Amino acid sequence: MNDAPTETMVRSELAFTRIDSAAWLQELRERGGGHGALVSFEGVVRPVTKQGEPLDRLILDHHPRMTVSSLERIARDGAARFDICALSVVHRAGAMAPGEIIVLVGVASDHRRAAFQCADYLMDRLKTEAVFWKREQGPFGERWIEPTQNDTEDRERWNEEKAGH
Amino acid sequence: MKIAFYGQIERPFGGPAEISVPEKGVSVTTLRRLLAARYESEAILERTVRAAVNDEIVLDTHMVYPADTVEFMSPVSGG
Repeated sequence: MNDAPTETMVRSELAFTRIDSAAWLQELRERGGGHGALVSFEGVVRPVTKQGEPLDRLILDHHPRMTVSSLERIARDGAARFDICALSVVHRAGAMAPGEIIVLVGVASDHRRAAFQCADYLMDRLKTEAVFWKREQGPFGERWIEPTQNDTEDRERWNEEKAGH
Repeated sequence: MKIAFYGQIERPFGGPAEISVPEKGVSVTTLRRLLAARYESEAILERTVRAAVNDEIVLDTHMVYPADTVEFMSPVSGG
């Protein structure tokens, strides 16, 4: 556990253009210095909706200040909770086409377990708490997307576990 | 006072709303009722729509003054 994550340990960003995951992960490798494990996760826009309809665009509306704060808070909490060297969280806002990266999480640590668990934790928090309002557009028109019960249950796991310590 | 909306709640207003608030202030509850009457939509009365004043989520008893930044937001969908 890292009680007080340093500035260099944590990097979070709200992105308005395509996420270059290779560049982000290279930067994390350099910043993580001396780590033995690096875990990354990309969330990608699916080509179809949950109802099976083709999707043209996914749009994430954001708040001009609270969205960035939410990303920073989640990233800091992940760094404080797990025994890691460094992490990156970068999240898109605006309109995205199928195949584009919505979110990238990368965690560098001495050993793999903490990196896997920290990445899992970050994604569960981001899926429920990051300040975004999502809508999808396609031949069906436009509809808003709410968090699912599964997302909430995934998030609640971390209220009880003390993983990664 | 200009009021911004985020998420689905923006629809009935079609963008930011303009409304006058007295110097002595009004509660968030009263502000919701003023907006509902002015824009002829009760969506803003839904309890799931939260109010933020100066970037802090507040209760409906919170008082709002003309210089405050007031926003209403639908539940976040997460990332």
